[in-house]
Amino acid sequence: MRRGRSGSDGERAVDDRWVTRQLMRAARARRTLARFNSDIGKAVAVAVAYFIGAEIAFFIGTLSDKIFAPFWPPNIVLFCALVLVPWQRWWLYILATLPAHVVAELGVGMGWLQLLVAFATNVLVAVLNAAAVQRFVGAQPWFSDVRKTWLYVLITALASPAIVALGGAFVPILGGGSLDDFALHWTQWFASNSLGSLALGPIVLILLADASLPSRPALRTIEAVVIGAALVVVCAVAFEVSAGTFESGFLPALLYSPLPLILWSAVRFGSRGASGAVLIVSAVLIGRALNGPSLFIAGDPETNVFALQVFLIGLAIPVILLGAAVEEARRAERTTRDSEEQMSFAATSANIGLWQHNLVAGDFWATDHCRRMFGLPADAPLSWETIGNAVHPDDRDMLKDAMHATTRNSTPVECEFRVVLPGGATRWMAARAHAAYDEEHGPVRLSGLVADITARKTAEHQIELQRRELAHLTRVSVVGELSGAIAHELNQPLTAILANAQASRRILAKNAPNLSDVANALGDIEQASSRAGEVIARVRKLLKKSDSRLELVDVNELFRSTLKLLHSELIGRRIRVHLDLAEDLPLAIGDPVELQQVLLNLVMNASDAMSSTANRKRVLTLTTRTTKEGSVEGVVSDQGRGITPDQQGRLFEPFYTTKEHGLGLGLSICSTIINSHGGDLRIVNNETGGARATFVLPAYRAMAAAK
Amino acid sequence: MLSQSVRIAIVDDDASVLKALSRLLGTCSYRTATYRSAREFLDSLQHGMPACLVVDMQMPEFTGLDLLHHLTRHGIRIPTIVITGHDEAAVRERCEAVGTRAYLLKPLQGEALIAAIDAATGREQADGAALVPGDRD
Repeated sequence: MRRGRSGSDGERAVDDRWVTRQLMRAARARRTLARFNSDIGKAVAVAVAYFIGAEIAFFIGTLSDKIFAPFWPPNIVLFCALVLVPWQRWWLYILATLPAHVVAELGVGMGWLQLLVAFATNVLVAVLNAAAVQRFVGAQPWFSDVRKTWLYVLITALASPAIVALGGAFVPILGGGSLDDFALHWTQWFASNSLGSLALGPIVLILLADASLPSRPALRTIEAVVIGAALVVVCAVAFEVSAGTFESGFLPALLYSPLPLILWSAVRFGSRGASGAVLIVSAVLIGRALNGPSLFIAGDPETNVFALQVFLIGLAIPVILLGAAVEEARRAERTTRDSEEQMSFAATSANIGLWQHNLVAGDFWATDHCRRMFGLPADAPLSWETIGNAVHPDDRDMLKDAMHATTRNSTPVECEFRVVLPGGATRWMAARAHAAYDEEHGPVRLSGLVADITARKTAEHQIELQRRELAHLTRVSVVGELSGAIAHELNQPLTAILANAQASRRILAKNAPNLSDVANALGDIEQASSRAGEVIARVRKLLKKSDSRLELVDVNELFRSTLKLLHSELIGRRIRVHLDLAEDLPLAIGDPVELQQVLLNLVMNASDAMSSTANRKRVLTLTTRTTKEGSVEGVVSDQGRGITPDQQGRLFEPFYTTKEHGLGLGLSICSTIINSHGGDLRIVNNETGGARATFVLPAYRAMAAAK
Repeated sequence: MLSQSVRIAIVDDDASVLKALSRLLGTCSYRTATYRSAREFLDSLQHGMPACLVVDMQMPEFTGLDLLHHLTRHGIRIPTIVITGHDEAAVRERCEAVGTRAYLLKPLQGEALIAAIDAATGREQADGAALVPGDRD
């Protein structure tokens, strides 16, 4: 049953695959057919355009033999069609234009042989143009790039008409012209096709590639129509006025009359404007020249038309290139604006403000977000003064110094400062800036970014507060651990005080009391009292919460006072201390209470480590020295168990402890305290046994030198 | 006077305590010798034995207890009064085991110390009453 079903499933699957294949094949065939249909439609359209182009050419006018047009659009129609489709389908379009060609040429009474040769040369120039443009110019758009436009001109207006004209020149000869006039016919054929490529090709290709109207149509369209109409009028009027004025000497001036409108069109509308203007001028001038008195009246009609063609070709090339240059500049501007917008958007999204100060021109630029970060209105003029006013007064000089430094050294600078917003809120900012240099002018531009780091600063502050809180709690716990030793430290002076006081009373009770003995005893009482006071002061200092004020700290003194605090404790643990303090140790900068806590912890740890060491070996070595770099180094070295490799990595982890009653916070806190002082704490085993804790603190002297 | 000849040895690592106790005992006409360490005291024994030893427990290296054991081991018997800041039962027991006469806690009352020394030196019957301040003369 199961097998049967699976068998039929398999068959069904095979069927499904077959059906799928058939469906895909059908779809492929449909697509090919659809493409073919659409190609046929296009080809028919091209044929119609070819025919209309020919009729327009005949309407504008032909030369004396009535068959040779100085401006021949059909070739351009075919070229434009070919250049836009893959070469594999060119045959379809060429075939489609043949009837159009035949009908048009027969209409003007051309013979069959001549007609076919003309078609062959027409096809040849279109194919050559299309192949070369596809091969050398590359992808569209071709007229918004000066290099591509140049290539287009070289191929379609110069090289390929020059080559194909060798054949084209035979067309009039076959119509009865003399072979002696080959050079003349070559020139006419060349000029006619060249002008077509310049006057009609660009505007057709541009419109075929992108026929969409500009996004602000009303005004732009009106402007374009006005320019076009004005061009027609100016050209026509110039002709009307100048016809036959060759001798008057005004001809050059009249020839220039359309130029302002052409330039206007090119500059305002880029490649479309340039090629459109060229087409209008060409069409009007040629039409007028063939149907009435010409501007160029030097010789026979052929020469006059040729002169006009040369004039138009000479005008068209620079104008089309100007259009391309305008497009290029616009595109560059747009790219710059786009990338500026993108950068600004990205910066705003990342909560970063960007700014730039041109040191030469003096102008200031900042993103809107940057202005908001400084609490400045979007339209407020920017200067160092307005920015400085937004900065917290305590941070202004520092920021100013930083900007001066980067301008002077050309190295990027980073700093953190506060901004006071108009509402009074204070925000923390991190800034990074650098100066751009010019070999000639030195620093020319200062630019940078600003990031709001208030959240980070608040978090850092919270962490710092928690660290202090924890440090304080562990100090309290250390004092608790040391209570016995501290009691003993107090007991000693109290014992002395009590004994001295009782001795004094006894002396005074005698018949002839020796008062100087009493005075000595009182002196000793004073001394013992202040000693007891010192003990209490030391303990109180440890118990109080540190106010995080940085002071100059004598690390040697810190070692001594720590030993005093631990005096009884160390005696109780039968630990001897070897003290080796460097004489000219530089001062460190820090919180003396927290640093004392570190020492206390390190010494207590060392003592704990020696709890199972033989009595005579229980030696604690405390050393201070100045490092090669000028930092302050303190070492607490014991003769205890040392540390095992697996402990090594975890020593500074919170709640990691090897002691039975330890919380595991001691070393972790020592480490954070030393780190927060910009120092470094590490613990390694001694070569001779036991462990050695070494901390390094930046010296005040070294810090001063670094600044 | 009999008391002139009674020599009391005081051992404590704290100079101010030594000086004060010495001054106090001096008012009771005891002659005192003070030692900063147990070793210093042991060295002094070759010049003669004190009538009484007042010793602190907490001292570096050679503690009070070490000293008591040392004396016991060498068969040296000196009436001893222990003074200490720590009242630890174990230490007290060990002190009593080696025959300590008195175990006093710091800060100690002068009267208690003097009474203990008097008892240790057997001076209480002789002129104990005369030693009480105010009763004299």
